[in-house]
Amino acid sequence: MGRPLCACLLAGALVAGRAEAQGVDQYLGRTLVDVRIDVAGRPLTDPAVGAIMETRVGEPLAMPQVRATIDHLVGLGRFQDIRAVASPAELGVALLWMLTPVRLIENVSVSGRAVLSESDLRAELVDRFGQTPSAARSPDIVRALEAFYADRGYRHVAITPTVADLPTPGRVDLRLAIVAGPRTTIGSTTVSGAPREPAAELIHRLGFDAGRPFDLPTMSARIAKYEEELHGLGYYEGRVRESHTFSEDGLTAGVTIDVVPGPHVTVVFAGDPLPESERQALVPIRDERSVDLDLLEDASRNIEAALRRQGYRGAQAPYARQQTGGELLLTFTVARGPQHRVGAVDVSGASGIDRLDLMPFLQLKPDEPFVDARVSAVAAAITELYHVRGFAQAVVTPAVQILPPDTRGSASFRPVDIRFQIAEGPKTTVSAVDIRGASAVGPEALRGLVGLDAGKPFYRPQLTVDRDSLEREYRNRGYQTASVAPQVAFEDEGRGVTVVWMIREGPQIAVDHILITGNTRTNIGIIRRELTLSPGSPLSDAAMAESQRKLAALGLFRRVRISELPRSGDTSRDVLIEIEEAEATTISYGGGLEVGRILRSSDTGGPAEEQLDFAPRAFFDISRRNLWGKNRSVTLFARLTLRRREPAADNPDPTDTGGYGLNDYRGLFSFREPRAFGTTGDAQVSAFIEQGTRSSFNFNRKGVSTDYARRFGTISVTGRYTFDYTKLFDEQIAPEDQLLIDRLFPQVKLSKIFGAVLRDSRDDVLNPQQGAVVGIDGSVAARILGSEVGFVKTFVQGFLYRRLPGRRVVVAMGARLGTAVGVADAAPGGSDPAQTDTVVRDLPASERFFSGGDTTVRGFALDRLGTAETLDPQGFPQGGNGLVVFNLETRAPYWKNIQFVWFSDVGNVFRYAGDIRLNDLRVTTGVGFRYRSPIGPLRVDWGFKVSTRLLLTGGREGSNVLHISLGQAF
Amino acid sequence: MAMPLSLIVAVGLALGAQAPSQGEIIDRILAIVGGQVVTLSDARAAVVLGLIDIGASTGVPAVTDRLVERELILREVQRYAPPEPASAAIDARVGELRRRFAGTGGFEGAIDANGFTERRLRAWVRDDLRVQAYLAQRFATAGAPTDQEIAGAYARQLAEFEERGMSLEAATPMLRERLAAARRVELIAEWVADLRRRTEVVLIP
Repeated sequence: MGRPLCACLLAGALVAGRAEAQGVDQYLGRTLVDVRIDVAGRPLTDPAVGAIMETRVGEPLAMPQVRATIDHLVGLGRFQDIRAVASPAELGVALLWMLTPVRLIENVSVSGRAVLSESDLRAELVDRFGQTPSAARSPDIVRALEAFYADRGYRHVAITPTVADLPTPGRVDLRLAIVAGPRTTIGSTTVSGAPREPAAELIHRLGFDAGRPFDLPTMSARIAKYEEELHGLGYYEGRVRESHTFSEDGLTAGVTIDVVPGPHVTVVFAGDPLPESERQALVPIRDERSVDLDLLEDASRNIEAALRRQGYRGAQAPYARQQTGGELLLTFTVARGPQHRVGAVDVSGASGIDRLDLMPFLQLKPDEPFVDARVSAVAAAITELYHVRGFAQAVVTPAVQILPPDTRGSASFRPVDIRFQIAEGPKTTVSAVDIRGASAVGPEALRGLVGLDAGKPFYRPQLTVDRDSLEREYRNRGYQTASVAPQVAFEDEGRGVTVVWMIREGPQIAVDHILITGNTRTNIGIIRRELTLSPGSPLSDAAMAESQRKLAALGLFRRVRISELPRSGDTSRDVLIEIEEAEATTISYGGGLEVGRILRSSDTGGPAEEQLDFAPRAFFDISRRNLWGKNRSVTLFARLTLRRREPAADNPDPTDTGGYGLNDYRGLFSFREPRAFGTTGDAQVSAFIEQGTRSSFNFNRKGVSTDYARRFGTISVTGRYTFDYTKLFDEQIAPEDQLLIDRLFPQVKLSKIFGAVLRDSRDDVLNPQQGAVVGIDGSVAARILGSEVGFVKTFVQGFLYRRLPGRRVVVAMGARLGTAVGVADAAPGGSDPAQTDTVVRDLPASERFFSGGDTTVRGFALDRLGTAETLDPQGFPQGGNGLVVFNLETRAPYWKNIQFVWFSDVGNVFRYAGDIRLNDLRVTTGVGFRYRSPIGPLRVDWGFKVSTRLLLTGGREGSNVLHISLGQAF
Repeated sequence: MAMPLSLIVAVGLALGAQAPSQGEIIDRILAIVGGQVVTLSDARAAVVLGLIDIGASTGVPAVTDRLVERELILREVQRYAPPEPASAAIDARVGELRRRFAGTGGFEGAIDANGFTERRLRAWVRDDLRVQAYLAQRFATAGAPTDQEIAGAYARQLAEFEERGMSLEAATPMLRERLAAARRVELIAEWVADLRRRTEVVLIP
């Protein structure tokens, strides 16, 4: 019993030595009548901290709870010192938690006679301690700087640190008063070894003369440079070492330089030629600065391997080392031998696997260089195929037969016939799978996770995959220490195998507290809402990853890190969520140049002409995120385009010739509320003003809209109400040719309800290769809603993308159908009473369908597609109430990042939905290229009409159109 | 045989009686080692339960230093995941600790009074066994001493061996063992010092 007694005495001494924890026992088990928490001497105000305290009033004081509370508080990373102070109270014990906040060093300032550069000191500290070390590490910082100074000759430096609070809470300024003191100088320098130059010259060259300051980093750099020079002169093994001693007072240093230059090396190649350009890579003596045995042997092997890859299967390249005095001659003698080429390739012994299945693996083409390594790789691939199919004992042996020499052209070679001899062995099938040791998860649930199930071919690597699946499942259920091991027993001479999974589940770890740090603006409820972990739930890897993903997806944080805090020997863990908030205000701006072909009126009164249009544009966007800490945001977006304007066809002002101006712009202010109305959907309210140009008219629109959008997996549902006011101007269509509605409503108020359902399963939005998009939307405008005209409009679209098997060719196809009908309504009475009773069946111009252009039917310029009823005599499009577009496109790899594309686009715009006729569709085809750039595919498409038509004003349609744009056509 | 427990209580009471009304620190942070906290209750538990070898050292700094070293080693051990110790080995070690309190009935009390639980104690013992296994594996090949070193050591300890009537030949196995052990201790000390340089260790005064 001597040991415990000793321990107890020591424990007493331990506590007595600091007058701490005196008589802890007297408090334990007594009821806590008061628990207070002070932070830096002031009462705690943060409820998040209070929530993680395990010591509660009314409960008995117990040390495990005290210890657990310290763990929680430390996990928060906000306190550098935590003390629990107990004192007797009436009817129990009072507990005071004294918390000292972490103080991080934000700035280091230096005063005194520091001598060394302040920026160098800071760089050293950042390198050693990071950007913002804790102020508690000041002693370590001082020690590190003392060593820094000593290396530079200041061995008597005096550094006095003081810490001063900065205005930002928890941030401090570390002020270092430094007196560098006298600097050590080099007292003497001795040279040993065999330097190439006299000692005095070497010392001077290295800057090690007596009286020079002792500066270890500089000295080391000079020695390294000198070594490099030796290596460059062919002394590849040259080494220079420095050592030093200090005088008793530390003010002078005796330096010794030991120089071992090694032999001067010359490399010679003899025998068959070896290209000069390959020698350096194959024999990397210069790069490696070495001529040791291993490197020379590697060099020989490199040469032989390079030649064997060219079919010289018997190539040899031994080296000889000949040293004469200080000269070392290395001679590589290259003997290529005859070149071998692949002759016939065959397989024998295959019965369990069809020969056709083996053919893709026989990647050896007759007449190509015969390379043993490639033959072995083919044998290994066939072996692996057998193993995958359950032939666990299959062996594939390549047998080669070297034929007599042959000659092709001037080249002589030896053909080699190759036969892969297959010994299949029995096919092993899994006869039974047993799972032992599982109690927390049902065997059936586990069995569903393994690929090697009864009746399947046995493939040993699959065991590893299955083990990982099982362990992942356990970790996702909180069994963080679960281990899974397979045991296999073969039977029936290898035809069957029983797999037994031995499982040690270990304890289930639960989430204790969730500690969140770093949120200064974001409401903690917003963060908790995204978490798939909760206190008491299993500590699941999947839940942690999903929580991290969801938090990152909020877009509020620059960094999110979720980790479990270690707490040995317990079945619960605190989970720490560290976030770094992104800037609340973001500003972006940019510019570009839009180039396209647009329709212009002909000066001669003939058909409209397509002209190249250049439009420089700029945009500006400012957003304020995370309003009120609840992830709400406001955005102001503005875009301006300098664009040429065409005056209206009936422009009465002869001096108005149009010209360039800010004729195209858009301004948008929006407020976004994620998870609106307690749902997972997002709501948005916007106000906008815009002015734009179309082929036949310009328009100005202003309005407000409100959206609600919600996702259900790959399906998104959107509802929107819009009230806007649109005014047309600069109409290119003569008044007499304009639709009645355009004449009646050159400006129109629309009040619309819009709804859309879209399913998007594309693998990549910018450049899809697999998946589909299917959507339907509809909108209704009615007088009852405040609209001046009424209509119903629907649009159905579907796109499908498939990558052809075995190739990188993508086939994309799409179909779009738009139908609209104006609600028959009396037009407003105007100056012309005859119009009062006119029934309007058309839609306003801004709501009609247009087609033609780089994303619809590429044989036509923008908006130029339409039946005769939808084009004015000059060819300007009026738009219509019916739209049909079909697209088919194949995208094939061409060269590096360039794809070649063939496409066929079919479609048309019809005056009314009831006019849609498939035989009126216009067919176009074309070719194009895509360049895969970091910002998405850059696209060039050249579309051709399969047949051109005569225009009403004479002449014929242009036969082709070139489109240049960004992103795929659909 | 209630002496150890009573002594603890006596010491505690005696010291606690000095200033109970002002409140007493019952637990606090002593050090943070790479984010892992070492507390006063850890230090008390380690001493009272005999979880660390404290040698002749006393006082908070010495015990803290020992616990910091243990945490540094443990962090390294966890990176390499040495074999899991057998349950029987953990049982044996816990039984050994329990026997230190045989007859006093104070084992559970000592655990509880220092913020431990039986599960945490077993985890501590498990970690200790993993550390031992790791050190044995990593430093097993500490260089064997040369004949010259053995002769030098014999000369330095000549008085001891002469007294025991041992010639150099007879003393060689013993000296070889002693020198190898000393070298191992030296290597481990250097390794720990390096770990300490590489890890953020904050000592709270």
